[in-house]
Amino acid sequence: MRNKAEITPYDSARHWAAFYIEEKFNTMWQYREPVINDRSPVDIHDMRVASRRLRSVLLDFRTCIPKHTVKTLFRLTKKLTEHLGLVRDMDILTELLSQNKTCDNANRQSLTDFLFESAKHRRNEGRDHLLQFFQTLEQEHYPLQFEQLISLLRNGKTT
Amino acid sequence: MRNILPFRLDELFGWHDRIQIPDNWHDLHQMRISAKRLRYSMELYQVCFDRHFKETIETIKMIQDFLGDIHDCDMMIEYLEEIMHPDKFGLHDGKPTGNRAGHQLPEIQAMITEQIQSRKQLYNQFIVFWNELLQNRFKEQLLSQIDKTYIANVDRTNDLNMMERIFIDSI
Repeated sequence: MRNKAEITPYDSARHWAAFYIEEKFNTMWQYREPVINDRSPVDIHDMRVASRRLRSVLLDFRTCIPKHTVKTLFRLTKKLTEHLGLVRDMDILTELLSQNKTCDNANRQSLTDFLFESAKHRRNEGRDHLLQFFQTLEQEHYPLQFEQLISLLRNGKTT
Repeated sequence: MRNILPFRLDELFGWHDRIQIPDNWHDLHQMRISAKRLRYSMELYQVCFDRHFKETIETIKMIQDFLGDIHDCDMMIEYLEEIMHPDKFGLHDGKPTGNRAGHQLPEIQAMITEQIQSRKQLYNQFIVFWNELLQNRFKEQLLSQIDKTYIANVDRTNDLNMMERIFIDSI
């Protein structure tokens, strides 16, 4: 893969599109396994941010990409961001609640425990939906669609 | 670059009037999304600008962080209010019917009040920061930076094309 220094203002828009779509997609997709294995909330957050960046590139370079392709890939990526968002929101909530966990007030402590459990339950629901959506992405040949798009932008034809 | 960045910049600054109302949580959230879009696009085109551009991106990130913290409070308030819903707590005629969290309603209310206070502080800090950006003509300066960079790059591309033509002619 070309490194960032190889992108210059004088390259064509198609070259820029290929370069950045590849970079942003790879960055996002590398979190797939850690997210599926629920290794850390940070992976969920990072994959969500990376998916947003990928969408931003698709939008910025949409004039270089076939309409149907950009529409499909944008829709799927947005859905992925949303699924990740449901899990991430609950992670933020538990993080905020944990700031209350150490307080002396017994009522507050018991309430925090209850809210914690409730958030955990919702997180599990969100994760189930997310895992199902990863299967949908496989069925839709999501990574292959990106590979083909990058090849089209680089060589004028798909692999 | 000359089209996308000014468009994203307009999108962000277009929220100015609507965010003057502190409770406009939806517009504040949309403004945060606009800030993200602008920042991501700026990062893509960073290679065209000088090193000072990184500082400008940092400013956009600060907007995003302020709005992110406000959004976290809004999310927490929404969650707590939802938890207070009669279906969740088994309220009857406004009184808890004794389910697990029902007796904790005053505590939830206290937590909501705390979140509202934190949000108010964050919002006020953000508005001060935002107004400073307006006073310092941040938008106009960035637009001028974009214009200058675009023109310089077009000139350079023309130079390169010219050199290429001279080279081809000399073969």
